[in-house]
Amino acid sequence: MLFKKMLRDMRQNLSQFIAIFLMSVLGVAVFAGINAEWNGMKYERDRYYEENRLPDLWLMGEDFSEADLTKVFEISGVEATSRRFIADAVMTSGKKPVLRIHIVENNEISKPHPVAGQPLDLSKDGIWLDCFFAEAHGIGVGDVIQAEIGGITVEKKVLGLIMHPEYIYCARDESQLFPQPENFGFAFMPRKALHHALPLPYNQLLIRLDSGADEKKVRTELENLLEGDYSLLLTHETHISTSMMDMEIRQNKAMGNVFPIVFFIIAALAMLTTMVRMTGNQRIQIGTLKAMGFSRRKILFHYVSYGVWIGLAGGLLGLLIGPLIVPPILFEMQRTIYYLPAWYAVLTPEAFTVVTIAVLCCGASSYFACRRELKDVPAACMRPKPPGTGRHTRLEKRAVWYKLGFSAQWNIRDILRSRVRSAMAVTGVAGCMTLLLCALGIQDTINGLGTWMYQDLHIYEYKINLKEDIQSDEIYALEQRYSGQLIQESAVEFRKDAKEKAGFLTVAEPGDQLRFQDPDQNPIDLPDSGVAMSYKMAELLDIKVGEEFKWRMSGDTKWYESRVTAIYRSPAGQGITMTKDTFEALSETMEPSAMLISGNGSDAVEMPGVKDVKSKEEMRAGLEKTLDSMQMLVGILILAAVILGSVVLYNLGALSFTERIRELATMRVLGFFPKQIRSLLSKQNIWLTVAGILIGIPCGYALITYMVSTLSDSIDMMAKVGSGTLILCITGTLVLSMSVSLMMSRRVGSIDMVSSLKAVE
Amino acid sequence: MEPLIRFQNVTKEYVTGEYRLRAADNINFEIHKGEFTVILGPSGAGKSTVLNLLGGMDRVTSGSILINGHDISEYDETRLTEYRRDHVGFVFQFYNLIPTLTVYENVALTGELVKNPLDAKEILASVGMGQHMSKFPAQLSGGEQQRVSIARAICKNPTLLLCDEPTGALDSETGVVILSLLQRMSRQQGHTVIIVTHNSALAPAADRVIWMRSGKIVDEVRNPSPVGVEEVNW
Repeated sequence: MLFKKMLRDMRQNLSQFIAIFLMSVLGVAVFAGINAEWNGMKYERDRYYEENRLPDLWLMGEDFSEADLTKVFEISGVEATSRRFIADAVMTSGKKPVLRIHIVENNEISKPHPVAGQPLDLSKDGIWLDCFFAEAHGIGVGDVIQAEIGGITVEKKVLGLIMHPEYIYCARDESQLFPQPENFGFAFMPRKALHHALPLPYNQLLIRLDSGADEKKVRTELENLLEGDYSLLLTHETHISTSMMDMEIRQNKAMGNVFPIVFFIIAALAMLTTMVRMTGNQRIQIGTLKAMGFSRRKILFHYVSYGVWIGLAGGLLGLLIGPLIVPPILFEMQRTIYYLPAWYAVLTPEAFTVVTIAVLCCGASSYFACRRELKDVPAACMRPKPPGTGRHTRLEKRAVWYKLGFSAQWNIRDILRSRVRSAMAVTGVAGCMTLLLCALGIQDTINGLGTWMYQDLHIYEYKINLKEDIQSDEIYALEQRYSGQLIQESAVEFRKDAKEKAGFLTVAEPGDQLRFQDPDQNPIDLPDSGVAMSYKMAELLDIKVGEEFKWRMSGDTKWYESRVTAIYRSPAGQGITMTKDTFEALSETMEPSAMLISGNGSDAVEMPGVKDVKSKEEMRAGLEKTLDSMQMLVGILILAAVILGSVVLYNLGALSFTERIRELATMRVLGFFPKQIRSLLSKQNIWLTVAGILIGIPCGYALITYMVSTLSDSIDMMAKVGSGTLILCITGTLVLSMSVSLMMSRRVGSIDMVSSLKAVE
Repeated sequence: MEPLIRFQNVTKEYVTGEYRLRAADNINFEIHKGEFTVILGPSGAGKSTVLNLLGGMDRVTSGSILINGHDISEYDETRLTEYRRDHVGFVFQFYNLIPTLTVYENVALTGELVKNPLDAKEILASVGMGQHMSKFPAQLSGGEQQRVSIARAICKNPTLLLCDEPTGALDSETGVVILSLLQRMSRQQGHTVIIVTHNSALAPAADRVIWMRSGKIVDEVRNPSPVGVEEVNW
């Protein structure tokens, strides 16, 4: 019978219970959806790694011998090893994209995943091409492609299209923020396809460990065994693709844990206010039930069950729709950045626990709501409740109070009297503002990143990448023709105390194509002595100006010790920068890798010694693409903001309206016009909305900062929201709040004075 | 002299579902300015309906209500609100004070509505509430709340002071105090006071007594020499 009573009570307070229901659906759906998304990615990634036998360690060197291989293989914990030759080839067609060629010794570990054509077969003569690169250039199986590698031109037939677990995140190096298959791809070739034309030293050694092997121990043994024979050791933590994939999964996990909290808080608050009001209205019923002999526990159980059922129903629906709707939307974005063979959602037990959280949130708040009503003896319950107490506020002692006028006094007291309701309104509006600001602000932030990077810091229009074997007369010719600034960019390793990081070294000739800014974004010059370190790298290594650190060029064995004399902010490519003079004072020779020019340099591709030419537009295009891929996320965030804001505000409006109907009816009888009462109500609404917006702004900034900070170690991004966007978000939140309050206040006109003021029921 | 209030063939029907309740059935009466009127009858007689119609809180089904010669039954919602604001002071059985406002603020609030309000402090003093001005309704007894409620109604210096069972929730001693306060408002300050009650003992104290039963007026008595409320035998 009591279950029937519950259903009828819910029907009577439909809008409130629907709101609570929606909040628990949203909370669970967002959590379970994102959970299923990253778990799916993780599951597929692990499967992909396993199936294609991804190595655990990569060693780079000059030429690994058969003996090296045997030595490594004998280290305990090593399961398999293989050698390969890696070099960047340049396609002769079009914009001269770079193709990273892999020539493998065997196809035992780190195997490509066939997509079209035949699978990799080392006995055949041909090339297996990155399928995204092929798609970007319109190349199909059977086509013949031409590329230049080590000075000779090679022509090969495409025998198959492939994906590869080492190229889930397919970027040429850390300075490239997003995969650009039109500029960079990879390819696999059997040794016999090339070995007549070129010496093919095995410059990479791949090691796969037994599951459960101690990676640290293997690394120490490797260092002892091969001291000096290799230049760089990559692990899953430092390999660009595996580390990016890891980061992405971690970031999604963090996001999925943060967002549902907002919805659960709202669900709990909504449950609390609704149940307080309902049990308040049902005092007489509660008294009657008690008088009939229902135990306190039984009545309590009855009211708690409202929350439990609602939380359970909402949670289960959320669990059903979240994993169905959220992952496909997020995958749409992920696909443009990460290349996995398959995309699917995986539901884990964690998703089921969160239903329990929803049930607990709603159940606990209904428990707290009705506990109070149950304290009284039955006789007291059956008497009407004494009117709520007004309280004097401290403000009243000030002279200013009397100048406020009735509506302000009434509103201030009313807010203080119903603190939970007001807090909930402020939370709802703040949440709405936070999500809105995050949605629109993140676009601004990425746009700002582009402006900052490509306008404030990188002045040049074209970057001419030079071949490694470029001759000094060829450089001279380029300087004559373009009068640009030469730079050298190399991969380096940093060491500070126990911390190790990989990063970049930039050596710059005097010139003004690169600008620098201190952490507060004031322009600075490169220091004449010592090195400048990028802000993010300094943070990662915990280095301050004036402190020393060790570094070496990847592929070198010699460690340098340098002092940081300046810190600059750099959006991408974290590391150190120094002048040519400082660099050569270390008795190193600058080997320019690129020339930066401000004029048009698109014709430099034809010049000898030039690898490729990149224009600023091309580099910016990558950013635009990311922005496009974020449209969906932005849409979801805006939708969530609107649902959150309107549901909370509508629910509260309805709640406070029924709570105060007697007061409002009295005012009508006294002769207040509906218009006056509406303005009274909307005034309070505006105050709470403004408070919510004020809280929401810093929260929004924090959320943007948090989201971009989880993006990548190599990206230094600051939350940047344009004033236009900020105004748009504020206006949007205000309009939402106003329209909900307008909808609510229509009811003022239809108050039935006679029946609202009848004796207390 | 032209009467202040004139009910002409006033009928009010409530329709709930398929059931029609004729709460007021062809009512006719007159009340003059400054009179202390009591509407008497058992519960369900239609007394409150008449008072609500008079106070502009409800609309007639047919007939007309003339106040100072103006037919308020033809007023639209806006003019009815103006009528309530400028001419009617209402006192409820359950006081209906605004719980978040103090005693003084509850009275002063009404003062903000009209052009020439009386001084809130003076009125509160005159109803004996001068000591409790900064208390909240929840801190007052029922009788005290009702006095504030009367002060609130008087504050706008209304043409009509309408009281719906003003002593219904009070003990009889307090009830006498409240009723004599209302009688004083009429005798000394010339307010037109109309009280709805089911307690016929009040009849001898009124200038005019209207008896109702089942939506109809069954008797109307003009009392040339009313006694003081305190002298009535309760």
